[in-house]
Amino acid sequence: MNKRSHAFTALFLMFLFIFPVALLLVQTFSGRWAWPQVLPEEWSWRAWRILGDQAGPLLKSLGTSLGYSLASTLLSLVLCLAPAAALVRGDLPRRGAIETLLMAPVMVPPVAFSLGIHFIFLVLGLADSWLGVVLVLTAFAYPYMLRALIAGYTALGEDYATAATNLGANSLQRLLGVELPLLVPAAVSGGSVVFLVAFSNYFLVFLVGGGSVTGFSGYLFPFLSSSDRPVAASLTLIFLGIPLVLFGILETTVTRWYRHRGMGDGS
Amino acid sequence: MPYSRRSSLLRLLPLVLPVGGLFLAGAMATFAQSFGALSPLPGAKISWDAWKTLFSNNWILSSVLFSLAIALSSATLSVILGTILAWRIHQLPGPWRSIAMTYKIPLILPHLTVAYLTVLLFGQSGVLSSWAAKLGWIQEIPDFPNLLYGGYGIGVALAYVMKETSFVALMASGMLLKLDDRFVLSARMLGASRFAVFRDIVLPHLRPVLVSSFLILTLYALGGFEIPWLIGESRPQMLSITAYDIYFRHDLSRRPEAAALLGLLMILSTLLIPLTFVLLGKKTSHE
Repeated sequence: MNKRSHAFTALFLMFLFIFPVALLLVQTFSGRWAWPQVLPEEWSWRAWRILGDQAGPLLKSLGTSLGYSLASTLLSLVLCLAPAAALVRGDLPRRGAIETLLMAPVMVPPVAFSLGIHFIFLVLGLADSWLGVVLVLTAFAYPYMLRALIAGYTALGEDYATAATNLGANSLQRLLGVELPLLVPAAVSGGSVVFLVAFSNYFLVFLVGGGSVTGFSGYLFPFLSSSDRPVAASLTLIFLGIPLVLFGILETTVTRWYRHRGMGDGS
Repeated sequence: MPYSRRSSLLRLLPLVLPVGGLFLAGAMATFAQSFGALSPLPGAKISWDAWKTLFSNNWILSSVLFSLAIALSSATLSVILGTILAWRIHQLPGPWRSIAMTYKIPLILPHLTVAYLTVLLFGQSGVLSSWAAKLGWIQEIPDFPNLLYGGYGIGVALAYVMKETSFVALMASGMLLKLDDRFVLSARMLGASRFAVFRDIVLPHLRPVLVSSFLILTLYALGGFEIPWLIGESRPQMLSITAYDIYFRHDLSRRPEAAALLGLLMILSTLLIPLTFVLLGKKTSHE
């Protein structure tokens, strides 16, 4: 294939995938935009002004979302550390089958199992609670963390742990002082996906959170089905932007932390 | 120092107890409800009725078939488009390839957002409709085909395709990195056409990943909630919404039907998931 056709492919793809985001951006600043105009006839800050007036509830729902998403991420990390180590280093019968079983929640159609889980939560008194939301999000998203930690443990090998043991470290010191710091890149990459899944989820939060836990997705929903397209578009951009910003911050801080500790470039 | 069998099994417990317990208990509660147990109604009897209704009620049956059709067609289209996308990107030289990485954008878009974008793009007064009018292809808004609410579920299928094509491309790209370029080069030198290379080398290499992606996407679309909840039609209706409606919005005596519907979905996914992993784990013949 020649150069021009490569350039064409690349630019076409860029257009295809950037266009929807650009469309949202144009939509947020549109004032009057009647069919069949390709661009708005009038531009306006109205949507952002409305968001400014709504800042209280908007920030509250964002805070709730960030809270339960981060909690699910941390809980996934705590739950997955030992099983990941066992899957890599352990002596397990039918290791492949166990791994498949543990990875399965990621592929299960959410509706199929979540109504049953909701019923269990009702019995346990976890429905309509923050803890219930964190648990159900973790149950569906932890496999991303597990997979990343399995890769992390595989790359890490056992030499560091052996050396630490020979120097007299107990298992807790070994985990916290030696292995956990080295597993940070794996935990970050798995955690990013867990966070993203939790943050962008609507259904599980809506189902288990009921009326008492409303995250950003729940806040956004009525706007998406309303006819006020500029406001819906600006909220959608926020929905898209927050994970991006967080990943950006995470990437730079983790890299810096690693350089600071003299442990390579964090890659 | 590898862990002993006992300590390895103990180490699995943090996941197996809470998460396994949750799924297992949830599944058991659902099946119990489908037979009429755990009902808050006085005098509820244990019976097969809900499962019989599942296969005799036209509304439920049509919802199951409609969802299957949407799931299979959107998964098929995503796999085809995603494969072509991945192969085109794989062939790009370095600098262009990094520009083409924008294909990953839909991976971070939440499903709700994608559903909303579908309305903006494909709605009767949406962007494509405006362009069609500017080009003189249509005169009025109703001239644009009613993709979203025309009764064929095209809107829901389009939303899934927009979201999942990138997923297939991501899975396929990973696999393409493992493809030995020398196969492609020698085939080309021996006179194979570009299409022949794609058909006889690239596709067989990608097959396990494509089949498993297809299964994953089919399952997801079958039980996905967000997209049909926002832009789905009420008639015909996607299975997840039907189950939700019967479960929560109808009177309690119909809850076993919803539970049976969910049970059916569970059985389906329990059968398909192991198959998917077997395919994913399979080594290709080149390795």
